[in-house]
Amino acid sequence: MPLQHEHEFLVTGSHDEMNRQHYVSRLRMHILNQIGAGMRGVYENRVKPKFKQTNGRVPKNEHEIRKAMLADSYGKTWSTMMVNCQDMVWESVRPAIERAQPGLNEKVSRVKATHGSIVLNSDVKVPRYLAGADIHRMPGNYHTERATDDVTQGALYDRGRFVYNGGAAGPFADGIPRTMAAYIKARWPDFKPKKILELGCTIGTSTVPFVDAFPDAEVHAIDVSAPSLRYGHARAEALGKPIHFHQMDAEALDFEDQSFDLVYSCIIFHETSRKAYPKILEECKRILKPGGQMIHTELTPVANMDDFDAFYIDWDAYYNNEPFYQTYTSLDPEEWVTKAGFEPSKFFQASIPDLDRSPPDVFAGAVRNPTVADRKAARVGESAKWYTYGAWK
Amino acid sequence: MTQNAESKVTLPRDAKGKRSVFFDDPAIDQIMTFILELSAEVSVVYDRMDTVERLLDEKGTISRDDIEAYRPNEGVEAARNGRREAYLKRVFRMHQESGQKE
Repeated sequence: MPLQHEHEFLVTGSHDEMNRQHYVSRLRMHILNQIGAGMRGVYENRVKPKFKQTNGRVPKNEHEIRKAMLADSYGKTWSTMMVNCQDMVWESVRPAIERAQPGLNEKVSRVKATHGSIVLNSDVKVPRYLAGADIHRMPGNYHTERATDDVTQGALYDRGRFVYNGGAAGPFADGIPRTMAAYIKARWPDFKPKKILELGCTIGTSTVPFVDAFPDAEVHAIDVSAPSLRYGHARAEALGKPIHFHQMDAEALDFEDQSFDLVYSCIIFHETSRKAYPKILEECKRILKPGGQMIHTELTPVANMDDFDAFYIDWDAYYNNEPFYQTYTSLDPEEWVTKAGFEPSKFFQASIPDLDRSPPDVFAGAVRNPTVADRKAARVGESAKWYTYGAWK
Repeated sequence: MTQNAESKVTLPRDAKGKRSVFFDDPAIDQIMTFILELSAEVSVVYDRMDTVERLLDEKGTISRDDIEAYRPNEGVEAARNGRREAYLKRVFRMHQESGQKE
């Protein structure tokens, strides 16, 4: 596990707190990989036969599998460990952030916009899909504000997410967006976007790689959550990256028609809603210039998974506070991209091997010969491939 | 909303949304919280010992401040992760028969 890059606003913790965080990362991996490895065997050898005996057939979908798995002692134990560990992630970071406040808010409020900028708009309402439940069980979610110039949730997310994924996305927690940017450049070398927009940027970890990949472009990023944007702006300034942050709702952007060459998002749709998703796609179409590109990395559609893999999606939706996860992954991206007004012939999709976790020839092969996710690409990060789709305008 | 600059900041410890219970008796889910948190504390104590030992090897004598200020480099962190993973395998091992046919 790489250590997290410590920019000047990152809150880590004391000697013992950092070791607790690093332990929680390993614990989570142990539950996912070691204990999780037994789940399929339990299903095949015990849960499925029992279900068949009772119902005269095998489970017909991931919902039935979830219910049957949760009636088994192995499934119960794995589940309670997963939920507990998820809470431990945030709990391991919380005390250090409490101690850092209110000093952290003051420190961030003194940051000068030297490289980029930030424009907040308090008229932007937090959508119901974020206000209703704390996504990933992060207490306070991305948006809660408890003080003037509050950045607490941004700080909690920055450190907590690193603990959550055990550093798997690299010291800057940017493995996916770095992979996306490298893929765009490799697959479409003649595409030189001059103006780029990221939707749902939170603290801008997914924005920075696009600044690095396209140094001549003007890079903008939007989110509804002010604490995340303030923190993200401070972080970007500390890293010397020119990013223009805006508090906006992706369902109704303030940008003019045909104003961007590239619009992208990094695993955000499943945290929105059934109503928001088509509107966001329509906004992408509207703000793109002719010849511009829309590209999104997201979870693999359930249609590309077997039922047991889909069970994990179902589980997360129920127990990791991801209400739209399940519905989102049941949708066909091509259908919705087309409904948003993009031409069917301009649609593309591919599963991209993670830049850090794949040999260079595997990545190059995926660029030359784009293929859609295989069945084993189900659990996020498990197969080290990222399902990506989009369209040209 | 605005907070007195002098006041101590406290953050919520629970996520908004339903708290999931998996066992028929919720006390079992609660006990799992205790056990997992306890496992973290044992690991933290182990790492603190490791810091003390490494500093003693290096300097012969140490203070509390030395311990608090110590940050492992990538190599030490990798060694600790190896130790943590072995510890996890020892402590959180599922009953063998669970994955097998009844």
